[in-house]
Amino acid sequence: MDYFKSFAISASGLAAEKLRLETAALNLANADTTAAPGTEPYRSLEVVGSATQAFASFLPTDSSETSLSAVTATVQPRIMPPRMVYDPAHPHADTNGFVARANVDSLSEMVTILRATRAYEANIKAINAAKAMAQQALEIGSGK
Amino acid sequence: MSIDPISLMSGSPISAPALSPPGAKPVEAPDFSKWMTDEVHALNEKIASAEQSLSGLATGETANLHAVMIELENARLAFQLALQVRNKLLEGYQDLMRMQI
Amino acid sequence: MSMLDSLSTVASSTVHVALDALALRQQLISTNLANANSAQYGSYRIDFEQALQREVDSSATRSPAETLESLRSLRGELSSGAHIKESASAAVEIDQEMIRLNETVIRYQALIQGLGKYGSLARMAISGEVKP
Repeated sequence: MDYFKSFAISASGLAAEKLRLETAALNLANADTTAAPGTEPYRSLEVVGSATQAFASFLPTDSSETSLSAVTATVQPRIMPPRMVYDPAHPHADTNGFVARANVDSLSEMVTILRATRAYEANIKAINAAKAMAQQALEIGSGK
Repeated sequence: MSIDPISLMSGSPISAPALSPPGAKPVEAPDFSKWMTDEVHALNEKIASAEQSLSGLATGETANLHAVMIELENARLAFQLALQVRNKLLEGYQDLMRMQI
Repeated sequence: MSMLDSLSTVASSTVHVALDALALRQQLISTNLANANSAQYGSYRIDFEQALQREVDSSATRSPAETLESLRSLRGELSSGAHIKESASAAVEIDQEMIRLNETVIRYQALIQGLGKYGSLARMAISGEVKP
């Protein structure tokens, strides 16, 4: 079996999930920030993963130039309006008494962290399976 | 009434029936030494290709790990077979030499 | 030229070089992992596959003795650290290093197994017995 390709595929999965986790952590860290009137509040970021290529392009064994990535993850700001909260006593309140807060939904960020963790574990399982299969291949002919 | 004298039969004389169908090539007795040489060449090819696969594994070709293992195992089995054939032949020869005439 | 020289073939010497290099690679990966949280640390890598492939390719046009000599000098280069690179820009990613560690271990095991099977051919020929 081509364990190298197998590992590379899982490696791209791990990288994507790690990015997702880091982004969610960053969002959570900035969840309670506010911005002075006139400045941009923190914009919540999301990670969009997409398949790098169809599986068929992994199959030809002669093309060593095939990039072995299965998923590409990019970070981009969420398409969400900024959150304005009425709090006239706040130092960052504008003339109408509204404060611009970061548009981070803490609950969904926690869920994202859980999903990213599970997906990371699943990719690790895939790597272990590839490793076990390769080691079995090494036992061909030992006949024990 | 007249009796015709027996005349010599015209036509082909009685011939032995052909043992093989017409058009068949004459069959050669199998040549053992030729067969043996061919087998040894085939074994050599197998071992050489197994060596190449092993070399490939060393230089980082990971495309087919189990294929390399199977090739090596096949080469080993083929060699075992050839060795066993050689041992049996030797045994037979030695038995022959021990026979008292 | 002793009769023992015929026991080392180009294939077994190539595998020997690869084993040396893979052991070195494992050590470099361990070093990288140990420095996973170090500041300003550049990941170590060792790249021997191309040099070895060149040797294998040119063995077709050279005598076995020359190729063996060339492989021996490649082993010397490797053990002196000639093919080890340090990339200052690459910080250590633990999961990627673990994957490379797994690959290295599998390749090492595969080469040891392969060498064992290959050596058993010579053993059988030497002993004349089918069970090596």
